[in-house]
Amino acid sequence: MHKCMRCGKIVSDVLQIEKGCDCGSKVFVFVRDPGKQDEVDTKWIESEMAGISKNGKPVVLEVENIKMLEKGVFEIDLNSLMKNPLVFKDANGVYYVKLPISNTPPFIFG
Amino acid sequence: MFEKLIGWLKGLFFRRKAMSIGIYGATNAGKTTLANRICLDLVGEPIGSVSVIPHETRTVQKKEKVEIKAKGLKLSLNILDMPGVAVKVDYHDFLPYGLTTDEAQQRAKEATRGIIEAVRWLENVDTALLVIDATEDPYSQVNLTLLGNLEARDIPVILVANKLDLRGASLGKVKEAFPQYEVVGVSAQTGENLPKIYDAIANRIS
Repeated sequence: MHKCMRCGKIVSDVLQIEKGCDCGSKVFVFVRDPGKQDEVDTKWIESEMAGISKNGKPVVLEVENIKMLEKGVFEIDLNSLMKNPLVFKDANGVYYVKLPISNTPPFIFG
Repeated sequence: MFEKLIGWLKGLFFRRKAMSIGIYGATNAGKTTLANRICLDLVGEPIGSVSVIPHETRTVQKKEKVEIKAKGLKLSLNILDMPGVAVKVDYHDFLPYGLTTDEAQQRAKEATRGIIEAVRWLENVDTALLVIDATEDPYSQVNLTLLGNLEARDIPVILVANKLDLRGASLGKVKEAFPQYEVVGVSAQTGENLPKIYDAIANRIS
């Protein structure tokens, strides 16, 4: 399942993802456990990621390259870290994103 | 003839810029020991501290405009000692070394940041030394991922099979694992074969 980063709608239809969400956003994040993220405000990710959408194609963040399993325990997907924007998921299911062009600190570890 | 002349002139002028040498590798492969050895050898002072606790280097350590003479060339290098790269950082691994839980969690956080920093610095590296612990299996996820990405970015890489002074170290195993790469066997601890690294760097640049 994919979650729209603007309105939070859960979308399971691939065609719908291709077309974009009803709210107009084309930024989605892959959700393994939708229940965990319902309370999280992820709208800012949509505004961050919208800039890298080319030719109006949807942006789908399927991989979090850094995952905090618990405080002080981090799992790192090296290959995706080297190729993709930095996507960090904390133990509460909150996503933090850093684009390669951004000079701001990537995120604050919990 | 004209192209040869242009190449010679380019070599003459552009080689004056310091080349950035990134020292990459898994945690505790001996990157900082090697960087210290190189810096002590060439400028008389170390680059960073070494510890038995993993992830001692958590930010990029730099030593700029270090000069080496090899293969008849005088080269100016920026030595960049990178934080150790890992696929998992777990604060529990630091607890046996006497760190408190808070200290260990803080170290894990900084180590993870360090990995991100090491990856980001790939953009600024002209040549990479990939340090491999020759007492370990060379086919690790870290080594394979780093090599694949260095190759994809067209960054020349020299493999440094380290810890040859230790029992169980095998230069042959590293060479066998990566036959398409130049492998230099060294002991950063004793300084054995260090000039071979300078020669390999000079070969890459010239």
